[in-house]
Amino acid sequence: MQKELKFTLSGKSFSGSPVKLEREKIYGRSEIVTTDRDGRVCVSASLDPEGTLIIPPGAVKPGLLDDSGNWIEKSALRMIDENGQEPTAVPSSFDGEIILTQKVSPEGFLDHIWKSVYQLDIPDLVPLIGKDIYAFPFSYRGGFSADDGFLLAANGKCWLFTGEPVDFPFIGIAEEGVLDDPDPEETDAADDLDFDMM
Amino acid sequence: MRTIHLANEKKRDAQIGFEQNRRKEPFRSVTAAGQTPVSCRLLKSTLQTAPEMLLRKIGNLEDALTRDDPEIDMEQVGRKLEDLQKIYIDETGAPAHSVTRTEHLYAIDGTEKGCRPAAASQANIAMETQPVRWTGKTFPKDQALRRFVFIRSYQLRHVNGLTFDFLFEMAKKLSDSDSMMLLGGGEKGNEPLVLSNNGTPYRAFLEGRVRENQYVLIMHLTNLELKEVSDE
Repeated sequence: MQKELKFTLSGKSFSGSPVKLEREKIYGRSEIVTTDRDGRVCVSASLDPEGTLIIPPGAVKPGLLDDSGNWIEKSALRMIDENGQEPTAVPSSFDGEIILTQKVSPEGFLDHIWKSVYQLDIPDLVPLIGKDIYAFPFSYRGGFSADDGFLLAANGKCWLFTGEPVDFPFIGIAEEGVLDDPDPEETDAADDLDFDMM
Repeated sequence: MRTIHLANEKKRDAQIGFEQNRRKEPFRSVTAAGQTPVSCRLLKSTLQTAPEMLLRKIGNLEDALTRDDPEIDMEQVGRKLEDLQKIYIDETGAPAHSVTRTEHLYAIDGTEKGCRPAAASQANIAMETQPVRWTGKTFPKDQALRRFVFIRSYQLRHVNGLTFDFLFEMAKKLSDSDSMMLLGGGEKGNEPLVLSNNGTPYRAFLEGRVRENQYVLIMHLTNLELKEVSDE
Protein backbone atom coordinates (compact mmCIF):
# COMPACT_ATOMS: atom_id res chain seq x y z
CA MET A 1 0.00 0.00 0.00
CA GLN A 2 1.28 3.43 -0.91
CA LYS A 3 2.03 5.81 1.92
CA GLU A 4 -0.37 8.71 2.36
CA LEU A 5 0.20 12.32 3.29
CA LYS A 6 -2.35 13.88 5.61
CA PHE A 7 -3.39 17.52 5.27
CA THR A 8 -5.62 19.73 7.39
CA LEU A 9 -7.25 22.83 5.94
CA SER A 10 -10.08 24.87 7.50
CA GLY A 11 -10.56 22.22 10.19
CA LYS A 12 -11.07 19.39 7.67
CA SER A 13 -8.69 16.48 7.14
CA PHE A 14 -7.64 15.06 3.81
CA SER A 15 -5.21 12.39 2.72
CA GLY A 16 -3.69 11.15 -0.50
CA SER A 17 -0.73 9.23 -1.91
CA PRO A 18 1.80 11.34 -3.80
CA VAL A 19 2.66 10.26 -7.35
CA LYS A 20 5.94 11.69 -8.65
CA LEU A 21 5.69 13.83 -11.77
CA GLU A 22 8.33 12.73 -14.28
CA ARG A 23 8.94 13.54 -17.92
CA GLU A 24 8.77 9.96 -19.12
CA LYS A 25 5.27 9.56 -17.62
CA ILE A 26 4.04 12.42 -19.83
CA TYR A 27 6.20 12.46 -22.94
CA GLY A 28 7.71 8.97 -23.03
CA ARG A 29 11.46 8.48 -23.08
CA SER A 30 14.35 8.10 -25.46
CA GLU A 31 17.46 5.99 -25.39
CA ILE A 32 20.65 6.41 -27.41
CA VAL A 33 22.07 3.21 -28.89
CA THR A 34 25.63 3.37 -30.22
CA THR A 35 26.87 0.94 -32.86
CA ASP A 36 30.24 0.48 -34.54
CA ARG A 37 30.86 0.39 -38.31
CA ASP A 38 29.77 -3.28 -38.38
CA GLY A 39 26.50 -2.52 -36.62
CA ARG A 40 27.54 -4.07 -33.30
CA VAL A 41 26.28 -2.37 -30.16
CA CYS A 42 28.95 -0.49 -28.22
CA VAL A 43 28.98 0.70 -24.62
CA SER A 44 30.33 3.88 -23.14
CA ALA A 45 33.61 3.55 -21.24
CA SER A 46 36.38 5.86 -20.00
CA LEU A 47 40.01 6.35 -20.91
CA ASP A 48 42.59 7.65 -18.43
CA PRO A 49 44.45 10.89 -19.35
CA GLU A 50 47.58 8.95 -20.36
CA GLY A 51 45.54 6.83 -22.75
CA THR A 52 46.89 3.62 -21.23
CA LEU A 53 43.86 2.25 -19.41
CA ILE A 54 40.33 1.59 -20.66
CA ILE A 55 37.89 1.72 -17.78
CA PRO A 56 34.70 -0.27 -18.38
CA PRO A 57 31.28 1.03 -17.26
CA GLY A 58 30.64 0.55 -13.53
CA ALA A 59 34.34 0.35 -12.69
CA VAL A 60 34.63 3.77 -11.07
CA LYS A 61 33.76 4.12 -7.41
CA PRO A 62 33.11 7.53 -5.89
CA GLY A 63 34.50 7.82 -2.41
CA LEU A 64 35.64 10.10 0.38
CA LEU A 65 39.15 10.60 1.73
CA ASP A 66 40.45 12.39 4.81
CA ASP A 67 43.31 14.91 4.82
CA SER A 68 45.86 12.06 4.91
CA GLY A 69 44.29 10.29 1.96
CA ASN A 70 42.66 7.54 4.05
CA TRP A 71 39.36 6.04 2.93
CA ILE A 72 36.33 7.17 4.92
CA GLU A 73 33.08 5.23 5.14
CA LYS A 74 30.00 7.43 4.75
CA SER A 75 28.54 5.92 7.92
CA ALA A 76 31.49 7.36 9.88
CA LEU A 77 30.54 10.93 8.98
CA ARG A 78 28.37 13.26 11.00
CA MET A 79 26.42 16.34 9.97
CA ILE A 80 27.04 19.78 11.46
CA ASP A 81 25.50 23.17 10.87
CA GLU A 82 27.41 26.41 10.24
CA ASN A 83 28.01 26.79 14.01
CA GLY A 84 29.50 23.31 14.25
CA GLN A 85 26.45 21.94 16.07
CA GLU A 86 24.68 18.71 15.16
CA PRO A 87 21.27 19.57 13.70
CA THR A 88 18.05 18.27 15.17
CA ALA A 89 16.50 15.40 13.24
CA VAL A 90 13.36 16.20 11.25
CA PRO A 91 10.61 13.53 11.04
CA SER A 92 9.16 12.33 7.75
CA SER A 93 6.11 14.32 6.64
CA PHE A 94 4.30 10.99 6.24
CA ASP A 95 4.49 10.51 10.03
CA GLY A 96 2.43 13.55 10.92
CA GLU A 97 -0.22 15.90 9.67
CA ILE A 98 0.53 18.89 7.45
CA ILE A 99 -1.54 21.83 8.62
CA LEU A 100 -2.16 24.28 5.81
CA THR A 101 -2.18 27.76 7.29
CA GLN A 102 0.64 29.72 5.65
CA LYS A 103 -0.20 31.21 2.25
CA VAL A 104 2.53 32.55 -0.03
CA SER A 105 2.59 34.88 -3.02
CA PRO A 106 3.39 33.61 -6.54
CA GLU A 107 6.86 35.19 -6.14
CA GLY A 108 7.42 33.38 -2.83
CA PHE A 109 6.63 30.15 -4.67
CA LEU A 110 8.68 30.90 -7.78
CA ASP A 111 11.84 31.73 -5.81
CA HIS A 112 12.71 28.03 -5.47
CA ILE A 113 14.60 25.29 -7.25
CA TRP A 114 12.40 22.22 -7.30
CA LYS A 115 13.72 18.84 -6.26
CA SER A 116 10.47 16.96 -6.85
CA VAL A 117 6.86 17.55 -7.84
CA TYR A 118 4.10 15.14 -6.85
CA GLN A 119 0.50 14.77 -7.97
CA LEU A 120 -2.09 14.20 -5.25
CA ASP A 121 -5.54 12.97 -6.16
CA ILE A 122 -7.64 14.63 -3.43
CA PRO A 123 -10.69 16.08 -5.28
CA ASP A 124 -12.34 17.52 -2.14
CA LEU A 125 -9.24 19.57 -1.30
CA VAL A 126 -8.96 21.22 -4.73
CA PRO A 127 -11.82 23.76 -4.31
CA LEU A 128 -10.70 24.60 -0.77
CA ILE A 129 -7.20 25.49 -2.01
CA GLY A 130 -8.60 27.49 -4.93
CA LYS A 131 -6.07 30.04 -6.19
CA ASP A 132 -4.01 29.94 -3.00
CA ILE A 133 -0.56 28.45 -2.55
CA TYR A 134 0.21 26.95 0.85
CA ALA A 135 3.72 26.59 2.24
CA PHE A 136 5.04 24.19 4.88
CA PRO A 137 8.24 22.33 5.77
CA PHE A 138 8.43 18.97 4.00
CA SER A 139 10.68 15.96 4.37
CA TYR A 140 9.95 12.77 2.42
CA ARG A 141 12.06 10.38 4.50
CA GLY A 142 13.03 12.50 7.48
CA GLY A 143 16.61 13.61 8.06
CA PHE A 144 18.54 16.65 9.14
CA SER A 145 16.59 19.34 7.35
CA ALA A 146 13.21 19.82 5.76
CA ASP A 147 12.74 21.17 2.26
CA ASP A 148 10.29 23.93 1.49
CA GLY A 149 7.00 22.30 0.52
CA PHE A 150 4.14 23.95 -1.36
CA LEU A 151 0.64 22.76 -2.19
CA LEU A 152 -1.43 24.25 -5.00
CA ALA A 153 -4.37 23.17 -7.13
CA ALA A 154 -4.34 22.92 -10.94
CA ASN A 155 -6.09 20.81 -13.57
CA GLY A 156 -8.42 19.28 -10.97
CA LYS A 157 -5.53 17.88 -8.91
CA CYS A 158 -3.43 18.96 -5.96
CA TRP A 159 0.29 19.34 -6.64
CA LEU A 160 3.02 19.13 -4.03
CA PHE A 161 6.27 20.95 -4.89
CA THR A 162 9.38 20.40 -2.78
CA GLY A 163 12.58 22.35 -3.18
CA GLU A 164 15.06 24.81 -1.81
CA PRO A 165 14.85 28.61 -1.79
CA VAL A 166 16.84 30.82 -4.16
CA ASP A 167 17.54 34.51 -3.69
CA PHE A 168 16.71 36.94 -6.47
CA PRO A 169 17.80 40.32 -5.05
CA PHE A 170 16.62 43.63 -6.52
CA ILE A 171 19.52 45.23 -8.38
CA GLY A 172 20.23 48.88 -9.07
CA ILE A 173 22.31 50.57 -11.74
CA ALA A 174 25.53 50.38 -9.70
CA GLU A 175 25.32 46.60 -9.33
CA GLU A 176 26.34 45.69 -12.83
CA GLY A 177 27.70 42.27 -13.70
CA VAL A 178 30.86 41.27 -15.53
CA LEU A 179 30.60 38.80 -18.40
CA ASP A 180 32.81 35.70 -18.46
CA ASP A 181 34.79 34.68 -21.49
CA PRO A 182 32.59 32.44 -23.62
CA ASP A 183 32.91 28.98 -22.02
CA PRO A 184 29.89 26.70 -22.10
CA GLU A 185 30.85 24.76 -19.00
CA GLU A 186 27.53 23.14 -18.13
CA THR A 187 26.71 20.07 -20.15
CA ASP A 188 23.68 17.87 -19.92
CA ALA A 189 22.90 14.56 -21.47
CA ALA A 190 20.86 15.34 -24.58
CA ASP A 191 18.75 12.26 -24.16
CA ASP A 192 15.37 13.88 -23.75
CA LEU A 193 12.54 14.00 -26.23
CA ASP A 194 12.01 17.30 -27.98
CA PHE A 195 9.83 19.49 -25.83
CA ASP A 196 7.03 20.91 -27.88
CA MET A 197 4.34 22.09 -25.55
CA MET A 198 3.26 25.24 -27.35
CA MET B 1 28.74 35.64 -15.33
CA ARG B 2 27.48 33.81 -18.41
CA THR B 3 26.24 35.72 -21.44
CA ILE B 4 22.84 35.79 -23.10
CA HIS B 5 22.09 37.79 -26.24
CA LEU B 6 18.58 39.10 -25.70
CA ALA B 7 16.24 41.23 -27.83
CA ASN B 8 13.27 43.19 -26.52
CA GLU B 9 9.86 43.65 -28.12
CA LYS B 10 11.24 46.45 -30.34
CA LYS B 11 13.91 44.01 -31.58
CA ARG B 12 16.67 46.02 -29.90
CA ASP B 13 19.25 43.54 -28.65
CA ALA B 14 22.13 43.46 -26.19
CA GLN B 15 24.57 41.06 -24.56
CA ILE B 16 23.79 40.78 -20.87
CA GLY B 17 24.69 38.45 -18.01
CA PHE B 18 22.82 35.74 -16.16
CA GLU B 19 23.56 33.74 -13.04
CA GLN B 20 22.05 31.29 -10.60
CA ASN B 21 21.95 32.40 -6.99
CA ARG B 22 21.95 29.21 -4.95
CA ARG B 23 22.09 29.48 -1.18
CA LYS B 24 24.88 27.89 0.81
CA GLU B 25 24.01 24.41 2.13
CA PRO B 26 23.02 24.79 5.81
CA PHE B 27 24.75 21.53 6.82
CA ARG B 28 27.93 19.71 5.92
CA SER B 29 29.44 16.30 6.62
CA VAL B 30 32.59 15.99 8.72
CA THR B 31 34.70 13.11 10.01
CA ALA B 32 34.80 12.14 13.68
CA ALA B 33 37.87 14.40 13.96
CA GLY B 34 35.92 17.30 12.48
CA GLN B 35 37.67 17.24 9.09
CA THR B 36 35.81 17.91 5.88
CA PRO B 37 36.19 14.86 3.62
CA VAL B 38 37.47 15.19 0.07
CA SER B 39 35.52 13.56 -2.76
CA CYS B 40 37.41 11.32 -5.14
CA ARG B 41 36.90 8.69 -7.81
CA LEU B 42 38.78 5.42 -7.55
CA LEU B 43 39.23 2.51 -9.91
CA LYS B 44 37.18 -0.47 -8.74
CA SER B 45 37.96 -2.98 -11.46
CA THR B 46 39.50 -3.21 -14.92
CA LEU B 47 38.40 -4.56 -18.25
CA GLN B 48 40.62 -7.62 -17.81
CA THR B 49 39.03 -8.49 -14.46
CA ALA B 50 35.41 -8.00 -15.55
CA PRO B 51 33.32 -11.19 -15.03
CA GLU B 52 32.76 -11.73 -18.79
CA MET B 53 36.49 -11.46 -19.50
CA LEU B 54 37.38 -13.86 -16.67
CA LEU B 55 34.83 -16.39 -17.93
CA ARG B 56 36.38 -16.16 -21.37
CA LYS B 57 39.99 -16.38 -20.18
CA ILE B 58 39.77 -18.92 -17.35
CA GLY B 59 38.28 -22.36 -17.90
CA ASN B 60 37.44 -23.21 -14.29
CA LEU B 61 36.68 -19.81 -12.78
CA GLU B 62 35.28 -21.25 -9.55
CA ASP B 63 38.59 -22.91 -8.70
CA ALA B 64 40.59 -19.90 -9.79
CA LEU B 65 38.55 -17.59 -7.54
CA THR B 66 39.08 -19.78 -4.45
CA ARG B 67 42.77 -20.35 -5.22
CA ASP B 68 43.85 -16.84 -6.32
CA ASP B 69 42.40 -13.38 -6.81
CA PRO B 70 42.00 -13.13 -10.60
CA GLU B 71 39.13 -10.66 -10.16
CA ILE B 72 41.48 -8.03 -8.68
CA ASP B 73 44.19 -6.21 -10.60
CA MET B 74 46.51 -5.36 -7.71
CA GLU B 75 48.47 -2.87 -9.82
CA GLN B 76 45.46 -0.79 -10.84
CA VAL B 77 42.62 -1.14 -8.33
CA GLY B 78 42.35 1.79 -5.95
CA ARG B 79 44.03 4.16 -8.38
CA LYS B 80 42.73 7.74 -8.17
CA LEU B 81 40.96 8.80 -11.37
CA GLU B 82 40.77 12.30 -12.80
CA ASP B 83 40.18 13.92 -16.21
CA LEU B 84 38.75 10.81 -17.82
CA GLN B 85 37.80 10.86 -21.48
CA LYS B 86 34.67 9.21 -22.79
CA ILE B 87 35.14 6.47 -25.40
CA TYR B 88 33.06 3.61 -26.78
CA ILE B 89 34.12 -0.02 -26.58
CA ASP B 90 32.79 -3.06 -28.41
CA GLU B 91 31.83 -6.36 -26.83
CA THR B 92 35.47 -7.51 -26.74
CA GLY B 93 36.48 -4.38 -24.84
CA ALA B 94 38.35 -2.86 -27.77
CA PRO B 95 37.83 0.83 -28.61
CA ALA B 96 35.13 1.28 -31.24
CA HIS B 97 35.73 3.60 -34.20
CA SER B 98 33.31 5.47 -36.47
CA VAL B 99 30.37 4.91 -34.16
CA THR B 100 26.79 5.76 -35.08
CA ARG B 101 24.42 7.06 -32.41
CA THR B 102 20.72 6.35 -32.87
CA GLU B 103 17.97 7.71 -30.68
CA HIS B 104 15.18 5.21 -29.98
CA LEU B 105 11.89 6.79 -28.91
CA TYR B 106 9.49 5.04 -26.54
CA ALA B 107 5.87 5.89 -25.75
CA ILE B 108 4.58 6.19 -22.18
CA ASP B 109 3.56 2.51 -22.20
CA GLY B 110 7.12 1.49 -23.16
CA THR B 111 6.44 0.60 -26.79
CA GLU B 112 9.02 1.82 -29.30
CA LYS B 113 7.66 4.60 -31.52
CA GLY B 114 10.62 4.82 -33.85
CA CYS B 115 14.22 5.88 -34.10
CA ARG B 116 16.28 8.66 -35.64
CA PRO B 117 19.91 9.69 -35.81
CA ALA B 118 20.89 11.21 -32.46
CA ALA B 119 21.64 14.89 -32.92
CA ALA B 120 23.81 16.97 -30.61
CA SER B 121 22.05 20.15 -29.51
CA GLN B 122 23.87 23.45 -30.04
CA ALA B 123 23.81 26.28 -27.52
CA ASN B 124 21.66 29.12 -28.90
CA ILE B 125 21.55 31.78 -26.22
CA ALA B 126 24.68 33.78 -27.02
CA MET B 127 24.83 33.67 -30.83
CA GLU B 128 25.98 36.99 -32.25
CA THR B 129 23.54 37.07 -35.15
CA GLN B 130 20.52 35.46 -33.47
CA PRO B 131 19.41 37.02 -30.21
CA VAL B 132 16.94 35.28 -27.95
CA ARG B 133 13.64 36.99 -28.70
CA TRP B 134 10.46 38.01 -26.96
CA THR B 135 7.85 35.89 -28.72
CA GLY B 136 4.97 38.17 -27.75
CA LYS B 137 3.25 35.22 -26.04
CA THR B 138 2.50 36.14 -22.46
CA PHE B 139 1.07 34.04 -19.67
CA PRO B 140 -0.44 35.49 -16.48
CA LYS B 141 2.00 34.63 -13.70
CA ASP B 142 -0.50 32.65 -11.63
CA GLN B 143 -1.45 30.59 -14.71
CA ALA B 144 2.13 29.93 -15.79
CA LEU B 145 3.12 28.53 -12.40
CA ARG B 146 0.11 26.17 -12.52
CA ARG B 147 0.95 24.99 -16.04
CA PHE B 148 4.72 24.51 -16.08
CA VAL B 149 7.32 23.16 -13.66
CA PHE B 150 10.22 25.58 -13.71
CA ILE B 151 13.26 23.34 -13.43
CA ARG B 152 15.87 26.10 -13.31
CA SER B 153 15.75 29.84 -12.77
CA TYR B 154 18.45 32.40 -13.55
CA GLN B 155 18.66 36.08 -12.70
CA LEU B 156 19.52 38.42 -15.58
CA ARG B 157 21.88 41.29 -14.84
CA HIS B 158 22.93 44.41 -16.74
CA VAL B 159 26.59 44.96 -17.63
CA ASN B 160 26.54 48.75 -18.14
CA GLY B 161 24.23 51.75 -17.92
CA LEU B 162 22.59 51.15 -21.29
CA THR B 163 21.72 47.54 -20.52
CA PHE B 164 20.37 48.64 -17.11
CA ASP B 165 17.71 50.70 -18.91
CA PHE B 166 17.13 47.85 -21.35
CA LEU B 167 16.44 45.28 -18.62
CA PHE B 168 14.66 47.68 -16.26
CA GLU B 169 12.10 48.45 -18.97
CA MET B 170 11.52 44.75 -19.60
CA ALA B 171 11.09 44.05 -15.88
CA LYS B 172 8.68 46.98 -15.51
CA LYS B 173 6.53 45.90 -18.43
CA LEU B 174 6.26 42.35 -17.12
CA SER B 175 5.70 43.50 -13.55
CA ASP B 176 2.94 45.93 -14.57
CA SER B 177 1.13 43.20 -16.52
CA ASP B 178 1.79 40.55 -13.81
CA SER B 179 2.70 38.15 -16.57
CA MET B 180 5.57 36.10 -17.96
CA MET B 181 6.92 36.37 -21.50
CA LEU B 182 7.84 33.30 -23.52
CA LEU B 183 11.33 33.59 -25.02
CA GLY B 184 12.42 31.87 -28.21
CA GLY B 185 15.76 31.02 -29.77
CA GLY B 186 16.97 30.08 -33.23
CA GLU B 187 16.58 31.81 -36.57
CA LYS B 188 12.85 32.36 -36.29
CA GLY B 189 12.89 32.95 -32.56
CA ASN B 190 10.48 30.11 -31.82
CA GLU B 191 12.82 27.34 -30.72
CA PRO B 192 13.51 26.19 -27.15
CA LEU B 193 16.64 27.60 -25.53
CA VAL B 194 19.76 25.47 -25.19
CA LEU B 195 22.17 26.95 -22.66
CA SER B 196 25.23 24.88 -23.59
CA ASN B 197 26.32 22.50 -26.32
CA ASN B 198 24.70 19.07 -25.86
CA GLY B 199 22.42 20.68 -23.28
CA THR B 200 18.75 20.02 -22.71
CA PRO B 201 16.34 22.24 -24.69
CA TYR B 202 14.11 24.28 -22.40
CA ARG B 203 11.18 26.60 -22.92
CA ALA B 204 12.07 29.87 -21.20
CA PHE B 205 9.87 32.51 -19.57
CA LEU B 206 10.88 35.95 -18.34
CA GLU B 207 9.46 37.26 -15.08
CA GLY B 208 10.00 40.86 -13.99
CA ARG B 209 9.77 42.70 -10.68
CA VAL B 210 10.41 46.38 -10.02
CA ARG B 211 10.94 48.38 -6.81
CA GLU B 212 11.72 52.09 -7.17
CA ASN B 213 14.92 52.21 -9.28
CA GLN B 214 15.76 48.54 -8.90
CA TYR B 215 14.64 45.53 -10.82
CA VAL B 216 14.65 41.74 -10.83
CA LEU B 217 14.46 39.92 -14.15
CA ILE B 218 14.30 36.13 -13.91
CA MET B 219 14.53 33.62 -16.71
CA HIS B 220 12.56 30.50 -15.70
CA LEU B 221 13.30 27.31 -17.66
CA THR B 222 10.95 24.38 -18.08
CA ASN B 223 10.76 21.10 -19.94
CA LEU B 224 7.87 19.70 -17.95
CA GLU B 225 4.18 20.51 -17.83
CA LEU B 226 1.89 20.07 -14.84
CA LYS B 227 -0.14 17.28 -16.43
CA GLU B 228 -1.97 14.38 -14.87
CA VAL B 229 0.14 11.23 -14.55
CA SER B 230 -0.90 7.65 -13.89
CA ASP B 231 0.25 6.13 -10.59
CA GLU B 232 0.99 2.73 -12.23
